[in-house]
Amino acid sequence: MSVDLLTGYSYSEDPQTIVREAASGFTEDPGTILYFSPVSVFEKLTQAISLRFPNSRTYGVSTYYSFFEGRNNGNGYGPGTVIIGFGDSFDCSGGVIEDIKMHPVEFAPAIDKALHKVPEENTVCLTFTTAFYGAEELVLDTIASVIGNRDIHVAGSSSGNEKWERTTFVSYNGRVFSSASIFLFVHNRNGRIEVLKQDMFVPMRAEFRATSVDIRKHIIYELDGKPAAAELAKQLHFELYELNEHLHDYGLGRKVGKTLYTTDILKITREKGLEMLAAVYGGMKLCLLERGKYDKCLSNMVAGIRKKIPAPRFMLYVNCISLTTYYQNIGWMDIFTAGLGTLAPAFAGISGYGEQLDRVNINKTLMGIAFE
Amino acid sequence: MKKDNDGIIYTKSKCIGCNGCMLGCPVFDANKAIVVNGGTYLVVDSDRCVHCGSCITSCPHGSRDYRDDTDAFLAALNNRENLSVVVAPSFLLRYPEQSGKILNYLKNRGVTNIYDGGFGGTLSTWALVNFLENHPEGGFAIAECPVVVNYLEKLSMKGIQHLAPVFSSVMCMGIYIKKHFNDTAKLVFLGNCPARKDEFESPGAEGIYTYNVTYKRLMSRIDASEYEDLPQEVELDCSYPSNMLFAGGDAKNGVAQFIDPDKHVLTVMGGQRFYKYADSFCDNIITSENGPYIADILNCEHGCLMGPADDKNIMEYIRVWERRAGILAKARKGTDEMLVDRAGVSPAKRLDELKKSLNTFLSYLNPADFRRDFSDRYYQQPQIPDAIINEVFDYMHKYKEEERHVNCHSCGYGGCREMAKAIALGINRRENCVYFEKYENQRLYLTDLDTGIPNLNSFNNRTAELMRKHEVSKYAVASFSLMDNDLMYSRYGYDEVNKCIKEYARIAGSMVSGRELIARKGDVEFLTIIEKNKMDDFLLNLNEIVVHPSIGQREEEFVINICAGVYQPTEEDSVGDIIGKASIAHRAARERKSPCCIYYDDSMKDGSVEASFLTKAFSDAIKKREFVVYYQPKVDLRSIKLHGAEALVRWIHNGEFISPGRFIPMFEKNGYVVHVDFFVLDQVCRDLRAWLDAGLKPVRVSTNFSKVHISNLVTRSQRPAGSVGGGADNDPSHDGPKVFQSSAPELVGQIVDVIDRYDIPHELIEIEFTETTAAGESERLAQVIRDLHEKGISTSIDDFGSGYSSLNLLQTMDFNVLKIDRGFLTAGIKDPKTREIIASVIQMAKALEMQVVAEGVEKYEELEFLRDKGCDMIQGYYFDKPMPGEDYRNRLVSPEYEIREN
Repeated sequence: MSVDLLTGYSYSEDPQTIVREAASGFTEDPGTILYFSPVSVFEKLTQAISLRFPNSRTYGVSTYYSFFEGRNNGNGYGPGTVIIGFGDSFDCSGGVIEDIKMHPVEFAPAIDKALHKVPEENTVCLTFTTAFYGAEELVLDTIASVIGNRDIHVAGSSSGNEKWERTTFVSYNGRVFSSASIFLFVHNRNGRIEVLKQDMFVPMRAEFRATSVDIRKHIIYELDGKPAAAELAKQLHFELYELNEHLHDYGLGRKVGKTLYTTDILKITREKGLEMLAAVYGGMKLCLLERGKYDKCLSNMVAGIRKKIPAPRFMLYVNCISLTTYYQNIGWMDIFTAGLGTLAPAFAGISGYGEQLDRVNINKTLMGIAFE
Repeated sequence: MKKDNDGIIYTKSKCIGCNGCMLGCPVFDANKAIVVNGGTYLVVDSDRCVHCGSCITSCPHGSRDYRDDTDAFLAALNNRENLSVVVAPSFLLRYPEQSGKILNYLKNRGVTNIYDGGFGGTLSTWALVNFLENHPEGGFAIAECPVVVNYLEKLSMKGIQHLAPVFSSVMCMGIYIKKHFNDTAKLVFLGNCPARKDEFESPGAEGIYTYNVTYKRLMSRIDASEYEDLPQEVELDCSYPSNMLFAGGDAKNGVAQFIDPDKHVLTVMGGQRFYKYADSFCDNIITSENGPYIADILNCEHGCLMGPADDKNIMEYIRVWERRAGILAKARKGTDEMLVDRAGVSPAKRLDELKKSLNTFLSYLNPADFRRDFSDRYYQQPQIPDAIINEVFDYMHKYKEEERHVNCHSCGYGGCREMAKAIALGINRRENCVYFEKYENQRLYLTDLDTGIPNLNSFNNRTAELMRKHEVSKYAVASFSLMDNDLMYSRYGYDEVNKCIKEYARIAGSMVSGRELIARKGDVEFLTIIEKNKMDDFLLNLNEIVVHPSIGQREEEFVINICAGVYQPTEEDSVGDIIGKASIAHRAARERKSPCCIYYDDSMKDGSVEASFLTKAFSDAIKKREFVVYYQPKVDLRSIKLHGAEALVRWIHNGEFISPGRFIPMFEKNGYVVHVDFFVLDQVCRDLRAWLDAGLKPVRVSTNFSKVHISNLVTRSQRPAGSVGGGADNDPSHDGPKVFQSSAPELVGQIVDVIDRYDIPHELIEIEFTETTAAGESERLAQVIRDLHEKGISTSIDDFGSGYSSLNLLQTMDFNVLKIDRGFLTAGIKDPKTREIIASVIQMAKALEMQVVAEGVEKYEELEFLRDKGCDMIQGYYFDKPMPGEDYRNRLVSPEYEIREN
């Protein structure tokens, strides 16, 4: 191998064209390929990429939107495909976790095996999990059980769907999974790796205690001992029937010191509970969140990364689907994507149904992984 | 996913939440605590429960039970459906006197065939041995017990990899019946295991058995009189002596005979001995080189002889076992191949013999018919990070390390940490923790629930503590209340005000330190004990607290003002003294109706004692008619004759005369004055009636009606639902103040009722009102006056000139009489300004066609001045003091007066 780090993108909906366009700069097999692509082309694209890079391990994730550095054409975004090739300056090792709904821990030995192929220092574990199985927490538990006290951050995303539908995919070495997780340890031979998250949603006055939950189903039944949806509606001065249409404008968050972990409210259940996109533990104190200044999220990310790594060579972003759609709605995508491109000469990003950081599954968050 | 309590094991309504069910439960998250109406109950998570039945045994209240198909089976029997029954051999042992009779009863009721289920043991042994022939490496657990299968499927990640894929003897029997006998009837299994239903519904078993019926339930549903006369002998299909070998469900009498004696056959009776080691068993033991070749694990301690659906009794078990041994001993003398003494015969030869024996009638059966698949139902339990556990501990009010290791096990878990984990997982509630409940009880006793700050109990405790330590004199106590709460309620509504009080309390609570304390006494009243030298600053800060009520989505700022009374305790005070004295000072501060702080002094206490005395004495005074009406004549200045009188109330209590100046202001505050006014009106009418009846010609009597009547008036739309109309409660026997809410017409109606009760001409009554300044009250007063005039009752405005808006009142109301306040004459008519004012008032009243009465006339000069200015009548000591009714009666007889020049 003589390649270092490659990125490419394509807006095409034809798998062959995508590979041709997005991998046009890939003169050799880089060794490890990570790609984000819409659901509509995912399966065929996975085959095409495997054929194109027979000597690389390939990892794919379906996405709502991809973000990418477009060199001469400017930075871009959209329901397109972005391919990242990790070459000589990275050591990569990964695999797939199946059976994520019930016991991903069965795959702990495989994770352990992959972990031992990379040095501990300057390594991040990327993980991507198919959405809506409530499995992200179990996957994170499993990875954490293997990583233990090692200084390795876990960062990743739930996969997405360009039509906001529930079908999502991941792939590993040409195999496509609708219920699985992929993990990829990436060691940066050139220097540090830093992970940073920024929230767009900020706490309101109201605080609750989750007094009855089902963490398997990601449902909060009661807040402060009262039916959760009714209590939320009351705090927001909505009638219960009005709440559904406003759910995405709010969120619930758990504060740990200065860190806020945001959880998105997916829908009101039949029992008038709140189905969340991430698990909420019983007994947790939650604050009601509202949308803060939308541009702060990006500017804080840029400033925060610069503080940690002044000149990263590559940025990988995970931007929550709800933030992406909001930016679309307010016509801010161009500025946002341009902002993402200010930190490093190359970047790529995914927008899925959730974000994962270390042991926590979160939403409505922008996450940046900086490679020095 | 099933709902809680929907499965085979469930909680009945009589659960009291004692957690006894958790003691033997092998599954951490099978029991789920729920809170209903403040009580904690435990229900069964049907997806997690393995149906071992331990909770049925361990529940001391009989609130755990199981579901089976007995009722459905009996209904099918009544409907004459085609049914065949497979009987577990233990039934014959468990009920030796009744089993045959019951089976005969079932036959008589229409059951097509009854099979001896014990033969299933032979079949499953055969199928299992066949499987082991192809898997000589061994390392399998036999899937005979449905509970153990449930456990390994649900709670052991690798469990199902180590289960021998052969159906249990019960299922093998069912499969055999369907295949060999082509029995088309719905199959019923009669046993003692509720969990057997799980196997009937497992993959590949569908449609074999329809009903799982348990002995206990069946016996409870059939009246003994229906079968007791039937014969005990019964003929069963597939009945062989060797069937009794399998009555216990254990394999050692079955498959073990066909295995190399050097290989280890592990038998575990009692799942509790196994479950906690299940993972280790699957990961290490069964797979180790010297591990068991085959393991036979049964959930129940006595195997299938006595299952969960059985009354467990060790003596009964011993008798069942003896019966089984007796039957087998007798049978060994027969020809049953399975029972022949096989000492010295190799397992391989035994297997051959078994096959030959079975093949005579199983030639077309295939071991694959008995092959079973298992479901991977293992769910990886989420790992709860320490940070979350710690937050849950805080939520449980366990802040210190030792509080997190109380480990009393009352919750049913192994310790506090497990409980915290269960709460985080959403399967338990902190209300189920004894420590929390104790803490909570204490907290409820000491905390104001609305605001979360200490309550009066807490204040008492803290003050008493300071007194014990002789430090109380270093502190000052303030009783204070938030002002403008009426304004807040009307602007923001009840919920928002409550939020603001909460916010205020939180901020105020954060301002105390050390042994200082702030407590909520009620609604908007608080008590605080603060270091003496800090009290003034503290109160100043309290008076500047800003809260944030919302109107819709908009948040506003609202500065809360307070009025406070402060007392500096001495070592001699009791807690009650301290609170009482601060409250007295607070009351004085409140009367100022503006933000202020007043320090207690003893003169305040006297006033307070008087108020308390008068309030307590009032009720008896009404009952004992201690209130007495005096009349003060009004003399016409033209004719110098009696022209009217004002009725004045006097209180004679235990012979002591209590001045109206002492009790009227107090009763105006507490509302009792309303009763006094009606009492006086009633007495006036009573007297008038008597004088009229005596042939006298009484003149008009004016009687006072306090402005409290007007304050209590509401419009009809304001009246709360269900409130009784009629306004003032005129029942003199009432015991305390009530809220008088009526409309203007109702108040007038009540006045008229009293007058008419004595048949008094309306023109003989005049109602005197004092001025009122409260918003909205002028309109109501005007309405009352109009209504009284319509009824022919005169009205007067009393004490004109003493209030704030007398002229406004004259503009909006049509009083018949204007009474000039005595204060003008007290000032002295020598003062030119006073003379001018009085003259102008009289002139104005005349212009408004009102009669004028001057009160407090004592001197001849005053009389002359008033007569000169056109005043109509005078009332005062010049002519007469107020006098008892009897004396006034004499005035009616001789109404003429004389003018004296001094």
